[in-house]
Amino acid sequence: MEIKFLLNKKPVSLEAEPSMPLIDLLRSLGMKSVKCGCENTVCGLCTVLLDEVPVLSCSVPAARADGHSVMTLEGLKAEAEEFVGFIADQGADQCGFCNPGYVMNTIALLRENPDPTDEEIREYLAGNLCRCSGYEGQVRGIRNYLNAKKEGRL
Amino acid sequence: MKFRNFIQPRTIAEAYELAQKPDTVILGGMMWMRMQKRTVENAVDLSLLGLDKIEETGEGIRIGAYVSLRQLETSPLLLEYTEGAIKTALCPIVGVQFRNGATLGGSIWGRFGFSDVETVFTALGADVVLAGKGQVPMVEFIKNGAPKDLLTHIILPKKAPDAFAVNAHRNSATDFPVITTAVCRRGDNVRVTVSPAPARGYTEDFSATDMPEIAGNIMKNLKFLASASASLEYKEHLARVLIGRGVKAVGGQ
Repeated sequence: MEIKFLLNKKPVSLEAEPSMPLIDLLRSLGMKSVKCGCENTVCGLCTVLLDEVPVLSCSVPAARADGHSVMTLEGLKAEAEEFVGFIADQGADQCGFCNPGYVMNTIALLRENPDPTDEEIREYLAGNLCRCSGYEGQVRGIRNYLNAKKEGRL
Repeated sequence: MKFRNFIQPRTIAEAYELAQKPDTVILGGMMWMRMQKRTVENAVDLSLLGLDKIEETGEGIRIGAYVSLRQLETSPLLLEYTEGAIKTALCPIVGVQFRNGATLGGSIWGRFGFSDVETVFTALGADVVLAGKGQVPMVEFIKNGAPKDLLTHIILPKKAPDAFAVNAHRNSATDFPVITTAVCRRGDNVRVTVSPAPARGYTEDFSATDMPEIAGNIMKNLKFLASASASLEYKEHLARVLIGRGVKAVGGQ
């Protein structure tokens, strides 16, 4: 079936199998930041923004993207750059495998709630599993990033 | 799950007609269904039917089956109706991205014994609206199911609860609950719903004057099954404690 949608703000039109999940379609288009980490719909690594809303692309049938807008990390480099660099300097990441999903969902969080409490950060990122860090580094990294922005250090 | 045809009906009547066809599945959010190892002929997608709205009507609050769990937990109308309990109940489900995809209809249709969503809406006294059978109490739907029908809406009674409490236990954050309980008080009626996975949800109504005995009485009728998440004894203990807390929260001692 034919699917037409906006991928990172650029129109895309292609044929896809009826049951193809969005993650497979995106990876076939070279969006390699989108990864399947768990096969159980729980890890958050395949997060993309569908009409600005963070969703798990592993569970969205690609056909549902028809007529909609999909943003992946490849299309959000400018918005992610400052944050990702800051977090790396904080040593919040370890192996980095979960990083693309974590960055995508942090972007969604900060768009929805630019000044979250630590509790709100934890709640919003609960669906991004990380097997290295125990999450403390990431929460601390986001907190320090937000503080640095508030204090004009960025 | 694989399917040969992805069909997007434009009317509920069309979707209901499709639901009668053999080898056909109705898609919700596709969160767990996608993991099934089978191929079906037709997958019917409800995303174009306008079933993604939460509306106040003369009858109560009408919620479309395609409303996401995230919409439920952030709806000012539902937050006010439940005094915030809807958010407390649904936030522990996996993560924000999951709840943006998972639908109310998908969570109810499966009649899962582990569903926080089912527990909440049953306790609140909801009705389900089926395209074929019409409006039926959710308790009846949970008991009997509705094969080949199509769930289109959930309707909450106009009168908000006087008090409502949800208590669940998870072995680890974001996991399935071992047990979920909800207690809803409206006037003299106290409704208790318990989802003791893997057994189906159980609901019983009590008089508010019997509140001190509720936890003890409902335990006589509840059936538990041991599972990988917890032993029978642990589940019974959790149920007694969580129901007791719920009853206390709605005004019992």
